[in-house]
Amino acid sequence: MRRTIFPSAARSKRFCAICAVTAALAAASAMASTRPRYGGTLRVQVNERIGSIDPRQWQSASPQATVTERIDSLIFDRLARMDDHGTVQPALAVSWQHDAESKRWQFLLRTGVKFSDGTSLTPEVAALACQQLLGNTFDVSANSDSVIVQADHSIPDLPALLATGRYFIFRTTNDGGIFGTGAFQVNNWPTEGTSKVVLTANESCWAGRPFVDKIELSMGINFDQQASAISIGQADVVELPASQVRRATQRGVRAVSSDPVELFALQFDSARPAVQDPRVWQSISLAINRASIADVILQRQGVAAGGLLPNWISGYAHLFPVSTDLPRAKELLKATGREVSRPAPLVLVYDSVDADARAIAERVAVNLREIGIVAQVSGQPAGAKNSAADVRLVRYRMASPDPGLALAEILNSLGELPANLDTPEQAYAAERAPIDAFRVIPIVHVPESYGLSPQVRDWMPPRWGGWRLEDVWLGPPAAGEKSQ
Amino acid sequence: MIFRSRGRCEKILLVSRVARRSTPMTCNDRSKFSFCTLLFIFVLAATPIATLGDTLDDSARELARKIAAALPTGENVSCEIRNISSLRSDESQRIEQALTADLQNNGVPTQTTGSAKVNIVVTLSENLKNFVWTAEIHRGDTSQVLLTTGPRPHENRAASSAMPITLHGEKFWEGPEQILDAFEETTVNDAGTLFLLLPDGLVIRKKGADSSFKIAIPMAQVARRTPFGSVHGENACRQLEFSPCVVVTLNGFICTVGLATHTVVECHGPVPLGARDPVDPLIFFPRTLPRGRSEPLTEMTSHCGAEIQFATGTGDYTQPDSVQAFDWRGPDYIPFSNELSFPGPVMALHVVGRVPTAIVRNLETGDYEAYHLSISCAQ
Repeated sequence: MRRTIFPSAARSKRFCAICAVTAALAAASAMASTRPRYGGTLRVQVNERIGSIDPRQWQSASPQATVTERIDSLIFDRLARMDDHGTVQPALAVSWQHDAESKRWQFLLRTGVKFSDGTSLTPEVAALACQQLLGNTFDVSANSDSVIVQADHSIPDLPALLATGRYFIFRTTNDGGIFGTGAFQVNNWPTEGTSKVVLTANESCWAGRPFVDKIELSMGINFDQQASAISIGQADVVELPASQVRRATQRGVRAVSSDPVELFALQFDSARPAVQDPRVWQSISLAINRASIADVILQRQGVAAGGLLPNWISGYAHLFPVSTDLPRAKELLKATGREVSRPAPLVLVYDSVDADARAIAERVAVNLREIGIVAQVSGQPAGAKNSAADVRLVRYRMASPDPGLALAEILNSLGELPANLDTPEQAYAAERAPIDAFRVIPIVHVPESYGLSPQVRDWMPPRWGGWRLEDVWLGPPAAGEKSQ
Repeated sequence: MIFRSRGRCEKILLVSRVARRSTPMTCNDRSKFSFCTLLFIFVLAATPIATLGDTLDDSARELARKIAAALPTGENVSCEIRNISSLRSDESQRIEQALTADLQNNGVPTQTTGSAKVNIVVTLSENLKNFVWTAEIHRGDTSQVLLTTGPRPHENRAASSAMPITLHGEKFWEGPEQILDAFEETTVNDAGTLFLLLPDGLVIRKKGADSSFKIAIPMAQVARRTPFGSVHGENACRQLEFSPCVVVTLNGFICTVGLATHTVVECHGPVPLGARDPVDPLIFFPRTLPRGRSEPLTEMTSHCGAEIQFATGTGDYTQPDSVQAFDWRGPDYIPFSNELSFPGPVMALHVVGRVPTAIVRNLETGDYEAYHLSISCAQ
């Protein structure tokens, strides 16, 4: 049946014309309208300030480690990378093989890759970078097309290890220059008194030119300044503390969060008289209301933690209880025969620039007061030595989505002896040990959160956090917004 | 032990379903399938399920063996199973049955009463890559933990680098109105215009302005439970006398809406186009397929050097859905992208001649949502 609503002469021909025009023009625009746009400057702000992008100078346990990894990931590539499922995939190495004992690994390098200074990636350069980062316990060499890593022990997870952390491939020059093969190159590094890094698109990047022309990265911007900047359109990407995500959302900021990737935990200084008795440690652990910290203080941006690894990494976090038991905590404290509130309060130290840490520390102090422990909460710069600190609120970042690598890194940071983590039971036992001994008291896992401007498109980091700014492009400003 | 992922199982099911549609946009008479064809389809579809089931059974067997080894023979135990993983309840029940039977076979009888001295709590959990099953054995004040792991399918359906293209979704509109399509048109001069196609008309909103117009299209309203339609922007009208205008297809009617007058300029009823018609029906009609089980594929489009079609999942309107691209090679559809998941059923897909757009009804909020699908080609 054909039904013409507005009959007129030559309507049928016009109908066909409309059909043809619709189809032809629509089909013609298909490719153009679906592809991301190139161009523009992405403005990113971070709280930390780093002095160097050189992976050799990277301190994995430092507060700057995360932002260093983020920036280095823009400039350098690794031999391998983690895909969104946590599976190791080729990057600068296209394939790899190992001997029966997993002591000798051969990584076949991708051909045709150039550093941002125009020189070619060669096995010799890649091997030199690997050697400097892996250290002397590995012997790294090159042949015509591959990098060969030899160890005196089995390293079955070597590709996963090389896909995370500081294991970037770089090239140095005699004048101190350092170059990578990544999507961006350093155009301007801040001199003394400035804090803005300018990165420009690497036009010859082997993985394709990034969409944005330039990234302006402002370092040393505190969280309040960042929140203000994103609200008034002076930034495109800012960091959001977990405790401020909801507030930012209510202000209309577009917030995105990863899965929980950082652990807040307490660590005691057992040399301090106030906390020498393990029963005090246990009573403090039982007194902490983790659920309230996750749900109220962090406004459901955190997950109560009984273990070191979040469940999405370990799969067995439910084996670590997170419940509060005030009667038992009081009973244990009473059994110690001492009143912790006298003669001096317990000193709880947190990182003074960390908004989440402050909120959590203050709530822990409230919990401790419920069992009769008076805690004095004190904010201090990260890494500062304070002989008066009885207990510290520390923050650990999951180094990898791989449970073995993540656990090994945290245990290493805790000063635990290396453990065999080959089987699930071994990993569970290794994680259980410092918790049962109260060498660490997990409190809450928190995600990595960012505020994004309306122009930011294709923000697609992996679930364990990150930037992937090479995939980001800038769309037109939303209604009422002005291009900066 | 060979594991087969459930994600793969679903893909195979989908391919087998669409594979019989070797001629897209052409109705198949299902009654004409031969017995052998049906048997082949059944076997093809059932095999991955059986393999996944075997995998779960194997893991249950392994955990039962570990539990039995930790207990004295013949000791009565009570066993409780908790599922905090992505396994469905029927899969969880299957594991419980297999575990109970395997414990029995290993000399560990289970009972449901509270008289057992040993209580076992089995938790079916998972991490990024694996199923992680734990067994907590409680006997008095002592307890012991056993674990077993097995590969897990990628249920989150995130981007897979193994696929030639990667789909990403970005929500650009949400609201309580039942929309059939949402279309954004931006110009150099202003913030752009948002067109929302409703079952009874077209809503035009200037972005950044509070006001909006609704233009009723009564002639295109027909009695159907699944209205469908789409909006085609200024490009479709530029060479016509009605410009500025948009072309709307609604329930098979093709209408031109003048933007200057905010009126329906003309409408044409559905036409059964034949071979002599000037427009390829594959491209032209209809542009929008209502999400249904019988015709899940969209029209063919060119992306990343291939002719591809998009398909939604196999669930009904009560289930979250996903979109995946397929390359049509002869009689088969080859998965060509990751599966992009949504918080509700995909009500419509609009892909040809525009930014691919998915219309989704969010199952949690009940609102309708419009997503732009961006496509990245593999390097």
